[in-house]
Amino acid sequence: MILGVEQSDFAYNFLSLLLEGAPYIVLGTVISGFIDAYMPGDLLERKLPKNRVLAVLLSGLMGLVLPVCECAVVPVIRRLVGKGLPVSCAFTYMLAAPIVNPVTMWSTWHAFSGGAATEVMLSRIGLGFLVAATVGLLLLVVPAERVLRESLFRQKGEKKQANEGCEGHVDHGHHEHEHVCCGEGCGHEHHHAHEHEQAAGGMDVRLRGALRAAMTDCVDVAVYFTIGVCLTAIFNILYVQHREVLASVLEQPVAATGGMMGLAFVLSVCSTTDAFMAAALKGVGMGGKMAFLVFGPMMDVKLLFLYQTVMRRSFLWKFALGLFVFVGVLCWGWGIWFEGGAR
Amino acid sequence: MTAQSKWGKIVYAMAVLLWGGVLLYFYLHPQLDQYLAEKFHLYVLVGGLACWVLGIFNVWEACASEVDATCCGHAHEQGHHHGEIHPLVALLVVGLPMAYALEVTEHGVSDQRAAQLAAGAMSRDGFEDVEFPQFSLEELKRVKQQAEDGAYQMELMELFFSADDREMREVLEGQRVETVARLRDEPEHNENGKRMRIYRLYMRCCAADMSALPLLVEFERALPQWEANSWVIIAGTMSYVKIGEIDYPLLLVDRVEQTQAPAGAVRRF
Repeated sequence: MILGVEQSDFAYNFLSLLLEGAPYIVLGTVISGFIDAYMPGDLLERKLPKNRVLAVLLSGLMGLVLPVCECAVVPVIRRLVGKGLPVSCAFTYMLAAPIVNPVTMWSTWHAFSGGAATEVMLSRIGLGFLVAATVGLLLLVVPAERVLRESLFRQKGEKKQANEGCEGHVDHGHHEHEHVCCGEGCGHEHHHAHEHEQAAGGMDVRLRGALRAAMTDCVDVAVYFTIGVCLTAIFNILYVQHREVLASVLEQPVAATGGMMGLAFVLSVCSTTDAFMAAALKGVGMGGKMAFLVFGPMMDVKLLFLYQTVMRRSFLWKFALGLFVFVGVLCWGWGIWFEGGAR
Repeated sequence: MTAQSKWGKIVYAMAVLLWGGVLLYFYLHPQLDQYLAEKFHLYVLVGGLACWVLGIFNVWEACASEVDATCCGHAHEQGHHHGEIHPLVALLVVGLPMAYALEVTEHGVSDQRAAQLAAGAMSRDGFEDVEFPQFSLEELKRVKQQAEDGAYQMELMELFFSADDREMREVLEGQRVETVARLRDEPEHNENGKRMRIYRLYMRCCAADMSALPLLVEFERALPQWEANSWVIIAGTMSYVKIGEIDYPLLLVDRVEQTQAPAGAVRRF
């Protein structure tokens, strides 16, 4: 036993969380690899609305058509940012997609089907969207270099440079054969195919690039995910041991909001099923439950580590704290309104 | 060795193969449902296979490459397609916790944790989502096996939720039923000192959301003096008792015996 945690319980919890999350990480990184290899570099710029505010708001609803959980969204976002997606849109999608998607909507409605299911479900979607869009709008005025991890920021800069340098080239996004045209300005956003094209044995060079990028993304994310899962497994066990203490805290409305967000942070339950856990918590007000449902998919122990593959550490702490306060105030106010209306 | 070098790529690929190996190992493991709800099993298989495709391809490509110093024949400063973590560090971080966990896991929770999970107050909050199909005495007789003394063998979850289902409650009330569960003392609703609590652990997705479903049991004679959280086969007559504003199922026990932990001790909603 270490720190009051049975080793076998840690192992069981760790493996259980790993088995649940790892397939989504892998699928997310495979998608990210294919985005990297197949998505034309300027596609996002061309397709997103020119109005930046509108683009942010639209990104907050993208989960309805591209539903992903919080584990899978991080590697995808990482690659999309590298491909030129504005940071504001990327963060909006990253925060909103685990909540504003059909699977989470259905599970929330189902979990609260004992009472006010539709109101709770719609409120969760609305508040999730509001928080994500607010973060996205704020990021419109924050320089990307203060937000993004250095390597990702450099990659984004190179992408921009490449697009500008190669403007006018057809199908530039793939440009495994276009090194000459881009010259030094290309910024190396290619798939190294020019070297391997002949040695490829007939294999699609972009496919090779996709598999290569997917593997490195997978390992990078897996490292952070593993650390996050280790901590989550320990916290999950400690929570059960000390939940009586927490229960007494959760009886106060303000403390309940903070406490429930803290609980969501340490438990790191998947957004597709966390509503069942929130609904089952006895003696907690609706404000606290809503804080659990909105904050959890946006920030938890494993996400704190996964986000480090995207954000600068200095920004991440401010981001986490800001999110905690904003979601807390919003959900506390919502709880007063909701329970007032119920009476 | 860097993530860009041939050996770096191979070590990176080993980390992915390791992940894939664990996923595939568990997909084939008979105890997978103790870790994960069935709806996720296919994802485990797909994730494992995807890892192996990625790992094998990248090992093959690294080995096929004639150039060792760089990944693709020219030096990168950007590192955009290359890992940001030293390959050996990545392999150790990914591999060591998994190896340790595989070594010490008992494919379920310890008795201590089971007891902690079951120590919470009796509550049915948040469990309203379980729905049962239409139910009748004929259906009960047709679907459920009976013990030698005629008790219907039922899941604790069915008994627990029967209080909410009018049809089911009408059928079960007064029937003799048998179930397998763990037995502990009843700390809350035990004025006459003749009650205990049985429980089983249930999960929706994974161990992180595991919770205990409890059921009150009442003995006519002395309470069993077994170790807390012992596994028992317990039988008796179903009844219901109002506690506060809520009806709870109550089993009036006429037979109880200790048993071994069943295979698949953790159940799923």
